[in-house]
Amino acid sequence: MSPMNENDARDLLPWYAAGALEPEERAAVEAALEQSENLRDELAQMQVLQEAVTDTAGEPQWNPALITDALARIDAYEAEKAAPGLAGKLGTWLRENFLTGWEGVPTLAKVAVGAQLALLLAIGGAWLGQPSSPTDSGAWGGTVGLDPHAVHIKLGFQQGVDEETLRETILGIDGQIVRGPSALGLYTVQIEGLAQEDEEAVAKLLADLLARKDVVGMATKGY
Amino acid sequence: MSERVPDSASEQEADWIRQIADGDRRAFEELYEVYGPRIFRFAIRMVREETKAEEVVNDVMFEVWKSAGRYEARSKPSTWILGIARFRALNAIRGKKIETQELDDATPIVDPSEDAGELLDRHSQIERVKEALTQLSPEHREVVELTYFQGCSYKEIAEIAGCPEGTVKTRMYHAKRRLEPLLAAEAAGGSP
Repeated sequence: MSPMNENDARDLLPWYAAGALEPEERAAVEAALEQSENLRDELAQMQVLQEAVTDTAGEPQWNPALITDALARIDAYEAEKAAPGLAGKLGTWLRENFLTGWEGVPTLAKVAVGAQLALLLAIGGAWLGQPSSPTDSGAWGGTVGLDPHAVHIKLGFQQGVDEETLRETILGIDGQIVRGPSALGLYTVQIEGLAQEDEEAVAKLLADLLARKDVVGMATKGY
Repeated sequence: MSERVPDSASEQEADWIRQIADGDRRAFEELYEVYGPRIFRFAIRMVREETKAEEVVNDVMFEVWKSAGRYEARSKPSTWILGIARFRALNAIRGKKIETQELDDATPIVDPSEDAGELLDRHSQIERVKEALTQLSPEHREVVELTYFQGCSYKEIAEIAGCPEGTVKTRMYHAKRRLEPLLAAEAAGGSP
């Protein structure tokens, strides 16, 4: 190996002082150092620089407790990935469109924002979902909860059936809409006053509904 | 701190990164314990603000968690992680005006004790050098920090900074030139 000239050795002195040279380079620099007093003086300067850089006195100290924040952030990220709920979708949407720091937002804050938006959507949805001529009869069942012990039927109406006929039909069987209309136009109707065990009565009810062919297109037991 | 990272340490760190890619939180905690302080020290020197430096650390480690599956071990874990740290730290600096001088245009920092004729102790001289380091531009300061605090070779720094090896050497040359009066005085055994 040809000896390293002084300038090349000078370039590598900082990394020689830092102990960050490959063995071959280190040997070449050492050979050059033996030949040059100037290089040895410069090496002494590099050692001063190293001492200054590694001296952390008076600087802020690392706080190991920060790992708690890091782990919480990861939890939020993984939760968002695993089950992208409203908060997660909102976060993704905000991040993609407006924000750069959503990932850094604490989990509780994300949930709070998501919950607020959900509330707004629920209020808006309820308002928008009201029928054009609401009734006080209860047939729309806006506040009726789905009772798992009650009898439920799926009910579909013929095309062109008006709202009044629809309402009278449902009220006629003592029913309340608990879900729907679905994309296929089906309603889930909860029947009051009938027990699930009373299969004969349920069968008769369905038969009566299907008999009204001009109004009812489908009637079957189930959610 | 200037010791080079032994290969066994790199292998262990590479194992942790692979485990992190599989969602291993324990491995993440191990890696965090090693790199949290290192990244913090690098970031505090670059950003010069404790809160921002802490943010950089957790941004970097969060990126490590998300990107662990893409780590291909072509470079050492330290090179990969410090590369992320450098990017984050420079981003943090961009959002915060830091007074620095372009070294090509900068005159060497004069040792004030030359005029005063003071005899400074070594600690004071080291403090002067540290102060002078803060006057370097981020690109030059990072080369000094990565070399002396992180123990990176010039080849690793080139990889971290995404520049040719010659550029790393040039940046170090300019940093040395700027600091030379202070370093020479101290290397000679104190103020002249």
